[in-house]
Amino acid sequence: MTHSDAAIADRGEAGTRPGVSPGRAAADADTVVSILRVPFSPLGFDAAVERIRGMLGSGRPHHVVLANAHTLNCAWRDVDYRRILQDAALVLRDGVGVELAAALGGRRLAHNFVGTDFTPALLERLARPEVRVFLFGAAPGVADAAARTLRARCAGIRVVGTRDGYETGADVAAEIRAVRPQVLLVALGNPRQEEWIAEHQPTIQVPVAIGVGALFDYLAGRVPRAPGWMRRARGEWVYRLAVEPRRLWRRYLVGSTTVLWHAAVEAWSDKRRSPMTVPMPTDRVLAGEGRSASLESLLENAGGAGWLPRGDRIVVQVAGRGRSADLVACAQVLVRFLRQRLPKARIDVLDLSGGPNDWRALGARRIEAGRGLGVRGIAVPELRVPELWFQSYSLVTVMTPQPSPAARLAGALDAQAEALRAVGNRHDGAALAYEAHRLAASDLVIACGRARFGDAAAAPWWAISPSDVMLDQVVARAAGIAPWRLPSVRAVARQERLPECAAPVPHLPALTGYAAPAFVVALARSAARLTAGVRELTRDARMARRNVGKIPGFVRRRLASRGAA
Amino acid sequence: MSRLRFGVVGCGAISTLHQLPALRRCGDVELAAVVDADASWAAAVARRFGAPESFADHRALIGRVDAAVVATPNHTHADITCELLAGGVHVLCEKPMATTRAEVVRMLDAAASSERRLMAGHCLRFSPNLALLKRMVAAGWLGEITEMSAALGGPYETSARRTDFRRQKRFAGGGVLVDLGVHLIDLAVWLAAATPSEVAYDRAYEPGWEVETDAEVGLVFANGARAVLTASFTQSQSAAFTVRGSAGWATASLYQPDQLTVFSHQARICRQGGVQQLQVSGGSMYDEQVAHFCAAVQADEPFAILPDELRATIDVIERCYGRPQANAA
Repeated sequence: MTHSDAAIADRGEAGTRPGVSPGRAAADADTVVSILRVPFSPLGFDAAVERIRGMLGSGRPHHVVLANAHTLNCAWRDVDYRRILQDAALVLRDGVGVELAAALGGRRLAHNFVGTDFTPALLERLARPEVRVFLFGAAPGVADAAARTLRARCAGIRVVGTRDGYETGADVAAEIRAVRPQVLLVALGNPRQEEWIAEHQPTIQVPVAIGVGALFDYLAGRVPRAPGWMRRARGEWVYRLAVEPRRLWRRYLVGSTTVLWHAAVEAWSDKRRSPMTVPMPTDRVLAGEGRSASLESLLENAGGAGWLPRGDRIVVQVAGRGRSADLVACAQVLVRFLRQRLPKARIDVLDLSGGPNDWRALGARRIEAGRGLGVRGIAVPELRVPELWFQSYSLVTVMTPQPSPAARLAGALDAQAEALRAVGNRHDGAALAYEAHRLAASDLVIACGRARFGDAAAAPWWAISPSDVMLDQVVARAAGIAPWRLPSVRAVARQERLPECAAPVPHLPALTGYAAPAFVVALARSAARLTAGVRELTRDARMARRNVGKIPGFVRRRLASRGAA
Repeated sequence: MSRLRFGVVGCGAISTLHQLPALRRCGDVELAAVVDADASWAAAVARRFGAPESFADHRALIGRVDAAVVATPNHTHADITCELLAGGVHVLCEKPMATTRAEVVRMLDAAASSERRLMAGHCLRFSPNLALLKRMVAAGWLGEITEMSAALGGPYETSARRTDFRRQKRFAGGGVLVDLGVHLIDLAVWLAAATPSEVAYDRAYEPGWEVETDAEVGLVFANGARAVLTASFTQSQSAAFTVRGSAGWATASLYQPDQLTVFSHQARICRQGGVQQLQVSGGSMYDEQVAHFCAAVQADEPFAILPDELRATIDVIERCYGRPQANAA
């Protein structure tokens, strides 16, 4: 077998186009192609290797999925399995079936990451100088034989342990954790290998875990591979079907046809939907709950979706209201993540609480909003905006939704308006929220909290979106309020068409205690109206008194001028 | 710190409309005396603005005041200023500082040798919108400056003026170029933060005027920026100063000190909200000018208007009038 990574790279395009710098190619590829709701990354070979190399250095667990048509079929039938794929750090296409499914929707996944070629090539690249690998799965003895083949191919591949797939219990996880591999290859077949990784990754904490299917059998020489010409002609599946017809006929003939059918239906219904009425929220909000996900994995997914801020300066705006240890921790994780992902970018923290956290230790600088400049607004005619808004940067806002007597549920829109309050605007909250949304909407908003508001024992949750108003709608739904009941959302809706919020977002738990009771809101509103009325009356009375005081002087002057005439 | 005792020399329109009210409003100032060649007018102005003394000769101020505003016809600025500086009086001299380069140099030398301070009254620099514009340019919000354009002026007759020295060359030293154009040249030099390397000039004359009534100046600065400046005593002009840079543009009104319109494609707010009409808060430019003068004198700090900028401005005027250059001579 000739598995040189150069040969593989030849087939990939995104990372190896001549004349295109790797950075630019990576940025172009930083979007996601959704096929049957599974988010594939359209990376080339080099870009994928670099992405995975980054995961190795991050010290956090990642799940890399090589998804073929069978994977898609499993994901279509099983929602929980699909969620595992959606939560994965990287999903790469494996095989011609996925390519066809993508093509049906008019999309393209240039590089084919055939697991049997890609994984050894990836390990060879990571093995400069050395990579610690654990092989788990396949029949007894197969993983050992595969380990020998890998070691023979490249001295830097250090196999730190093997385990056959006939025992999958907790002791396997304990063994893996003990030897601390950098890469874990799991060969239990779809969908078990992905489920096993998702279940055990929180405890084993391996930087990169990959489900590799029948890789060990190939490496051990137990199953022959198709001849090179057949693989190049994308016909390896025909060969495999011929070799193992009883095991594979259903998967290849029925399964692949089903996937292509579903993909065709999805592509057709996508085309039929008018762009004005597409309910998009679940595609534009990523959420996760502490039990099954981490903020880092969500951020990885946000990166896969192309949501991460770009440019050479990023401002992380940390909301002051509702500040908690969770919020600060969330902001710190974000800053650390951005620092690692964008090593050259300048990261500034605009901490609106004025708290004493040391951001410099995380490689960020603390900044102030600057003085206020008056501009002509729409909802607020005389608006003061921070000078910072006249500078060039990408903005990420981190906040905790919370109950509020004025806003019922103060969300991302209200958090953004805090920057306006910081420069002295004292207007109605919803009007300010609209102005902040109009003039300085965040490129990315991250909401965090506990399933029960303020209850540190409840499970933590996070939601990420490139749309402030979308995030607020989704959080309101989860908190049991119709989004249009939030004054800030209504203020935005008065000026622009809101994206519809149809389905609940997966992995966002039901939120309790996040909405102020309706009567409190009504009372607060009445009190605000009363205060405004009294203030106006007082001003009118003062002005009337001043004008009455002018009358005697005016009369005197008139009389005097008449006398003089 | 004790208040500066101020005298005002020349009680024409600029003094009575702007300088004297500004001095009265300034907490650091005690108005001590006013001077006008017409002694009875000086006495009337002193009564109106609460000045204890009035004189017909500016030399009477020496020993009586700490500082003086010189707001006399242009051709007298140099002599009066030098005499006051020599007499130990700080001077805030109305623009144009003088009518020739030689006079400007003489005044700056007099200040340097007398240990008293001299500032030219380029009041527009203290207009809040132009001050903000300068900050924007300095902070790079508009990128590198490529182009500036400005126009100022209107029909002369519509304004009420007590001393009509502007029509005669021997009093004014020049036409609309030195009266209004000097504001624009000063602003351009200040905003470009560079010296003009090339100067182009065109002008027109109205009947009854010894000096030009319309002037257009083209400047090319050492850093590549260009400026087209128009001043007129006959046509209503836009009264706006526009700066274009590689990243955006800004237009400041020269009559409405709170108005500044900005677009920068680097600015986040403009990328999302388009052109922004800023409403700049701040006091009257004359108040700001007096306050700056007092603060700089009391703290012995440099003025915002630098001698090199004053020299660059008078150089442009000299070149427009076709006078030989100091370094060429």
